[in-house]
Amino acid sequence: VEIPALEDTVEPVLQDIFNAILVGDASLTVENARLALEQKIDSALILASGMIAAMTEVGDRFERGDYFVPEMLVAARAMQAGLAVLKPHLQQSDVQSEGKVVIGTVKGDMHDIGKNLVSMMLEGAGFEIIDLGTDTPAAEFVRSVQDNEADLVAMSALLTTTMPQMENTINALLQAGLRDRVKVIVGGAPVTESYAIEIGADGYAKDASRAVKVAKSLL
Amino acid sequence: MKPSFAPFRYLQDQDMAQIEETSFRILEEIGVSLDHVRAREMLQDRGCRVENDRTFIPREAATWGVQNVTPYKGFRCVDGTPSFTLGDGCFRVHNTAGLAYITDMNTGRRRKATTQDVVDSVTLLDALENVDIIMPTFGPQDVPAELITLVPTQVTLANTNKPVICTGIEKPEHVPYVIEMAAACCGGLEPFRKDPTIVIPVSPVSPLTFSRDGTEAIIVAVESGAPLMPLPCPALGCTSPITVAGALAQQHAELLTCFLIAACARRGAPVTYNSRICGTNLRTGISFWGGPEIGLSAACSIQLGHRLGLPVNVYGLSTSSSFLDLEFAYQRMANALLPVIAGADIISGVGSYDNVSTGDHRITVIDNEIISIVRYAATGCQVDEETLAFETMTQLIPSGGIFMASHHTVRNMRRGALWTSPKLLRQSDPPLDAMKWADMRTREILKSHQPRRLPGEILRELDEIVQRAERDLVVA
Repeated sequence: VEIPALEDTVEPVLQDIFNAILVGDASLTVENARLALEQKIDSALILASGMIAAMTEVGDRFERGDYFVPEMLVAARAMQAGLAVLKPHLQQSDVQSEGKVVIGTVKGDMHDIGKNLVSMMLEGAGFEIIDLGTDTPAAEFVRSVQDNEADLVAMSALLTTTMPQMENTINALLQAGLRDRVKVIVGGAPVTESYAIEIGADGYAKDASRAVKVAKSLL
Repeated sequence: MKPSFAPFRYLQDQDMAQIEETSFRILEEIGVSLDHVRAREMLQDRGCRVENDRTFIPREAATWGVQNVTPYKGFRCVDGTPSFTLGDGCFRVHNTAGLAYITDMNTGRRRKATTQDVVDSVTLLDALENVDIIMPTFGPQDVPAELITLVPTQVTLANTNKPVICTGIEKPEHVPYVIEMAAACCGGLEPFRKDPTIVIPVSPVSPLTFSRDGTEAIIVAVESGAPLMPLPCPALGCTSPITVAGALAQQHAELLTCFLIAACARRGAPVTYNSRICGTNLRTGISFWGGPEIGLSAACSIQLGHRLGLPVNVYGLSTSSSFLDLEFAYQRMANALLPVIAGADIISGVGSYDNVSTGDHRITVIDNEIISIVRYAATGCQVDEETLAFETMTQLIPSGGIFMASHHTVRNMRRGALWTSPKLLRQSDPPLDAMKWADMRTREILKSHQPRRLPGEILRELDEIVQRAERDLVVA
């Protein structure tokens, strides 16, 4: 992986964090995040110049076609590991969440790979994730949106037989009076854009990387 | 990834022995037509017998010939730096050469090719990652006939540093100019003779006919130090027996004769073994380049050439289709894949269609895509601890992890575990059909690609050589 150099004024340890995230090395990211804190570097600076800069570079590489989904995922995981070290030292204002997302595979559907990919991609892009797992009843989506004051519901289905559960969940959000304050995106192999429109979803993503774009565009 | 498969074999050992035995009998009992006094004398010195217009070659002489040529493996760039060595388990690819026609990208109509088309095709071939060797794609129709080999060679040398094979040489008097141009690009005649940078193809006329000019071209080429690419092109049922076995035996005999002439002219002459067997449309009598007999005969030729210890160059990407349609795609893929899984060292055919009569830049780009598929198929299935991935499964599966987020996936993706095509890498939304995509990529490359340029003094030297050739060769 070709690593670009940050500006000369940046502390070497921040470059090391940047490099570690770019190659998806979580343990090296954690080690360098700790080192940076020991060197009394401001935690907000570590976040901005080391971690967010790296994820921006990862995103650019993906857009250019130089990086693929697995590289985005390992980078996002390294970023999350580093962030866990930084969090106790950060002020609330230092970390600006892109939004709170309740995500799950709909009732009757046990397939979660696609949902997990979307979850990891959203988390890597700065969203806060509440993952309800698989086989999630509509009522559980509703409860989680209420409890967490979520901004977005993301639903996945792999089976044509479970797709109607997406519409049931949207209706349940409507009945609970939540629909006007939460956006809904849907995806999964059999789901299409026209189906998403038909059931009243706000957005549809064909794949995990597009889910991030759709989520950002809605919030 | 390094290739890891046993090449596919059509011919059993006894089949190859029978074909070789038939080739010896062809040379001994049918003989060749050899219209070249010096060559006949050289062959007589090696025990050959001349009767009327036929030269009969005993198997001892044919065997001596193949024992006294050298396998040409170490291809060099135009500037003389080493490029690759055949026999490393990978196959290389080059384009079709000498086409008279091109389908114009802007009008969609077939027209005569020009020198600018040669420039564009070299630029394109230089940019494409799956093309390893470049030949002048077109015989431009805007130059005097006497320069139709030399001008494209000049243009090719000036616009790429990839290894170059010259257009098939018809006239021996062209060879010195070709050598002089190639030598000018790599530091002079002495470095060229030591490590030649251009390969010279010469075609005997099937069946078993060695014209005065063709034979002289073989002799002049090998005496100049250039590697020889003898290129018989028997057409099944037309200029060879209709059966593949018969054509293979005839082609083998023609190649053995070329090797013998080359070895007599210069002991140790570097050569490759080449096959251009094609089908025949028996309703029109015209050669036919779309059937699977192209790939099949190429695969068999590879076995025969490798049995002699020689690298083998065969036809691969070929089609009879006059359109860029489904027929184009399935014929091409079959004929490219067969020789590659049979262990070809070089496959040819990039950029042409309609029975190798017409070129199209967009086909060159599509071929680059087809080769990426064939290259993947040629890597086989590597089996070791890393590829079996037991440790990765142990870590991931029980904990509910996903393979797509594992370092094993990233690492092996970068090593080429999954096929990734140039088109896939530039996937658009909504997806473009292959031809629209090829059109877009061709225009992008022609607009932006900057091939390495030779220093000004060498470009001037090339100009001077061609001008001198014009004075010497062009009949006013």
